[in-house]
Amino acid sequence: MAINNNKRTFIKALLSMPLIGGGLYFGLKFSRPKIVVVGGGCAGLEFIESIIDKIDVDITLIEEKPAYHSCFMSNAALVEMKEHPKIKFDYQTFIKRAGIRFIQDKALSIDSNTKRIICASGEYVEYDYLITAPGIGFIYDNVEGVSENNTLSYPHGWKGEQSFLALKDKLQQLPDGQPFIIIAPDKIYKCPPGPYERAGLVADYLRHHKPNSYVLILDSKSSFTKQDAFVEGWKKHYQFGTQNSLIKYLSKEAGGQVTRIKGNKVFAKAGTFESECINFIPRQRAGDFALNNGLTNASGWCPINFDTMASTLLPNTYVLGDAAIAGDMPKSAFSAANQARICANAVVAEITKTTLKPSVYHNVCYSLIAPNYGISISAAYKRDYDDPWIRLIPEQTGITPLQSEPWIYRAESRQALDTFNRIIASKFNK
Amino acid sequence: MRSIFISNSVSFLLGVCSMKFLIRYSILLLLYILPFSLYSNEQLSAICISCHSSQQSSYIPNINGQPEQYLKRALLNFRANIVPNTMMTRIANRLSNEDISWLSKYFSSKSISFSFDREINDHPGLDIYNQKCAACHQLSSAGIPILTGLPKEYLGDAIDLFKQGRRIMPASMGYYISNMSEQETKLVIDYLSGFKVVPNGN
Repeated sequence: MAINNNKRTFIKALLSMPLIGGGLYFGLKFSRPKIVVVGGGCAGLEFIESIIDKIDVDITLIEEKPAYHSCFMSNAALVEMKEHPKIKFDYQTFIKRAGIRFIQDKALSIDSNTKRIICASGEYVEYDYLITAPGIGFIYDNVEGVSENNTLSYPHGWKGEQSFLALKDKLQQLPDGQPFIIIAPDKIYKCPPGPYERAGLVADYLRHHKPNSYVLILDSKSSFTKQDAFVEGWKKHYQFGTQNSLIKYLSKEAGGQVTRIKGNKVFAKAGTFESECINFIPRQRAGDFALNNGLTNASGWCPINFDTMASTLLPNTYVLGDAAIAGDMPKSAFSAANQARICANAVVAEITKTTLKPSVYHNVCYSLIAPNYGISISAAYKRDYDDPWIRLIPEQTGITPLQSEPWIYRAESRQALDTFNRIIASKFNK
Repeated sequence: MRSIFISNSVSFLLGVCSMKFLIRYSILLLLYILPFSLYSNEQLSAICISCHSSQQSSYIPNINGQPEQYLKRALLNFRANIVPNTMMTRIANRLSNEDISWLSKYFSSKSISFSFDREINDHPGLDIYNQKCAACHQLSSAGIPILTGLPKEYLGDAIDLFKQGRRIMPASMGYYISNMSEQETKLVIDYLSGFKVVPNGN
């Protein structure tokens, strides 16, 4: 009898386990977790690509624009560098390949009680997990004479197509002999080496198109990222530091801080400069969506849990990319993609109730100084549980060594393009 | 998906085994669970594929399907600063021996094939490749890299480094490389970089 009972239990167990498992599987399949991604930049798209590989979820992407305009490689596109890549991509190919729902609308507000996102059109979308990648917004409070209303007169070319095209137009219309003035912001801002890459590529453009013009950088900072490597490159290509230099640089100490802009005049501590092309890059904060929905703290950026990228301010909400306070990680496409993958793992762990494995934090960033001449930084970061920060590991971080051989700079300029294709352009391939 | 499958299978195993069997099969169970609960190597590979793709590139080489021993040697050499390449030297700097072993195995297990859009059989580089490269480079299992589909400039720089004695190579390769004219080198590179790498859906 006892044996029979055991046998029966055994057979029952044998039969029931797969059924329970199967039921669990189908149950999950029909009530797939609803994930809403707000913002179709590098971070949002990388998150989607990463999570659909891992788990069956219902994804909706809300994005205001029908096409993505990349900041990565936009300096090359600004000066129409030979072989510069296309930087504008229609979302449709991505949407089709990923098999997700796309709502072209402006996400306005989060109702975290009913777990809904309300869009400008009045439509709302329900979510279980909200992934926000709201990007950056601008602050016009430290320079008199520039505001949101006249930003196109002094285009930043730091976000979106409209400003980019306005800057490109001003560059092309620049009267020969006038400087191209770059007003670089103070930390923290998107793409830290961006203003300096722009200086080099614009200087190369001026040499060919406006031989009497030069680039003037007015900086609110005392120093900038990869500075030694940039300066070395500028010396090689643009006689930097000499009378004939195509790039002039005024740091904060040299009076580069700008206080006022009026008409074609820029008033800095070092003096007044005049040009029809003033590239004013404002101070930055997290994008409007983050600001209006309580995702930011007093710094203007979004505090997050460094292990999961979950907002520390709103439940079931995650913040990726430029808007997030990601410890020592810079605001770059590579970092954004890295954070997006970490977040995808965290969301999967949350849905499947499994333990989240430790993450790998890394950033790579290439900058062009001239066509066929690039430099780079590779940076490793760590998370220690007694240290509430994503901490740079200096001994595992490095910049292209000074006085490298010429082929290395050429190779890095090609690698920059490949990396762009890999983390941006390939998302829109068929 | 994967974890559901695991929990399903694990509970199934648990159901089959009574407590008596559980102890007996605990080692088996452990082996079954272990590969999924270790440190997330997948995230390490994500750093690699942020730049290395199997799509056409202008410089960064394809690493999918390259022999495990070759990838391992390359990463160790980058880390030891033996091969001059600044970005990879810096990235390899953060990799442990275990990371290097895992990554080499992972990327070598990716299956790839090659395609070409022009008449490759008529290419003058094909003969030179067959005479001077193929004998070793077709034997990918021996830890010798697959050259097919590598980008033009990457191959050019690699050959320069070999010629300057700054990348380590077997004596036989030294013989062939030093006996190749500039024109021949150019043709071989043109032939090899004419291929496209196609991932086999994994």
